[in-house]
Amino acid sequence: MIIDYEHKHSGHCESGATAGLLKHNGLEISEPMAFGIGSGLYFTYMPFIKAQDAPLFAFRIRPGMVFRNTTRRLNVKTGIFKKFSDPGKAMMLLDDNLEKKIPTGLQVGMYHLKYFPAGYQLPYNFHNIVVFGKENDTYHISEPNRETTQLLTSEDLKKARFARGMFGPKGKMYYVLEVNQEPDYRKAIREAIKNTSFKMTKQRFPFIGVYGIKKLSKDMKNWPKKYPDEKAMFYLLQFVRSIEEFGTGGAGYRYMYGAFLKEAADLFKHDGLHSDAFRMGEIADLWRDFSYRSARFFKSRDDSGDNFLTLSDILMEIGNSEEKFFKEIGKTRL
Amino acid sequence: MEREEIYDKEKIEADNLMEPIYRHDQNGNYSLGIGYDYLPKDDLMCHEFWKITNEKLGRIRQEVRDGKSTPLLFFMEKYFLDPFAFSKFLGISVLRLKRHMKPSVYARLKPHVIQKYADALEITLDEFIAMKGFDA
Repeated sequence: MIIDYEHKHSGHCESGATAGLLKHNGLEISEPMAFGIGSGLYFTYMPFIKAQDAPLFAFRIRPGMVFRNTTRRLNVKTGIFKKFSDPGKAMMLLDDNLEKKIPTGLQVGMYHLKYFPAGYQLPYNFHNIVVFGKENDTYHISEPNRETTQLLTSEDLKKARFARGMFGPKGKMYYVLEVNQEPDYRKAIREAIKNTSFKMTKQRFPFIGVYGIKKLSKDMKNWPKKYPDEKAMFYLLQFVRSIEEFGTGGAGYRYMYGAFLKEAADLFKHDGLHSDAFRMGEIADLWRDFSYRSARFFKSRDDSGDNFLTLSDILMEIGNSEEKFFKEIGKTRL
Repeated sequence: MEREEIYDKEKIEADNLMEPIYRHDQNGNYSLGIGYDYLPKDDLMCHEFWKITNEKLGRIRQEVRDGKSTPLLFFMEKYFLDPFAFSKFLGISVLRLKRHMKPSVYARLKPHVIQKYADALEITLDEFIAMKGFDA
């Protein structure tokens, strides 16, 4: 039993899965659109939580929220099973879905996905895949991060769905039951942009949103004094990796959000959104410039050109321009 | 700026690490491209990251052979976990894990206990004892 599901190589696993599932049900929606309507953009800097030996940096909202926000705002009927206590029942429900020709999104741990190279097989439990077929004991998987579809045995899939470790997926599965063929895009996009603006600028907690960027900028100045040289450099390395590598590539989701704004502007012939999309691209260029200059600093280890002080100044500039941008975008009339 | 100096396209293509990236041009248009021609992405920073990680793992492996550390610490560091997260991954209590990470206690562990840890990591007992890293 293999469902005729169109696999698409996408930049970010959850937006890709969401867009794919909606597209299968007849709602043509692109990946940036799913990301934007799901209010996926965010920034978090948590110095007290360590991920991969460095503070936690995140450029997106909590896993699972993109699918939930997008489907709610577009009035899509969905089925979500948050957790199972019995793995056998979880696999049975998945098989039932496939029998009914419903492609199903799963949250899995990456450690058990054998088709990834060894460097990717880490205990990271927030990955998303779409299962669209079963033959004998093998599942057909649409893996958003890979160009082609993949195969996985049921034993491995079961392990991945019930991966142990922090924040285990516990077999979470989600699928689309029925789409509203003519959703109110204007309302959904207005709501989504307002929500992103609120989350980036109105939550006055120093570790999230634009305040997180500014806090990080201030902290970065002190890294060379506070930590030994190696450790400070490693923190910078991890930060640049989180901008450029985790999730989508290139300036931490900012380009994808710009693409969303551009698409929305074209949809409504809205001049304000056109210029917003352009400004988002400029801010993303600043992020890209930051990671480029950090990389050069990292390679040369030479304080005379760029150093932690100049890099933190760039970050402060990014924080200020993002604050201005998101405050203005929240007032957009659609 | 000269971006080429830190960007090695051939190596990335050889490793099959291409990814879709949204790009932005002078006119404010966005397009989807496949590749890494933007940034130090996965080239320098990722390369350096794995170099540092492999050096760290090599150091711990040497410490284990000198009897100052245990394979449990090696795998905890390999997967970038703290004791709490690693104990959840193995399915034991964190106090027990911390105790078993002491070389003197680890030396007295029965084979079936070590086998249990190897099973949780989905590797064989030999691989557990040999401490397989990312480079090997």
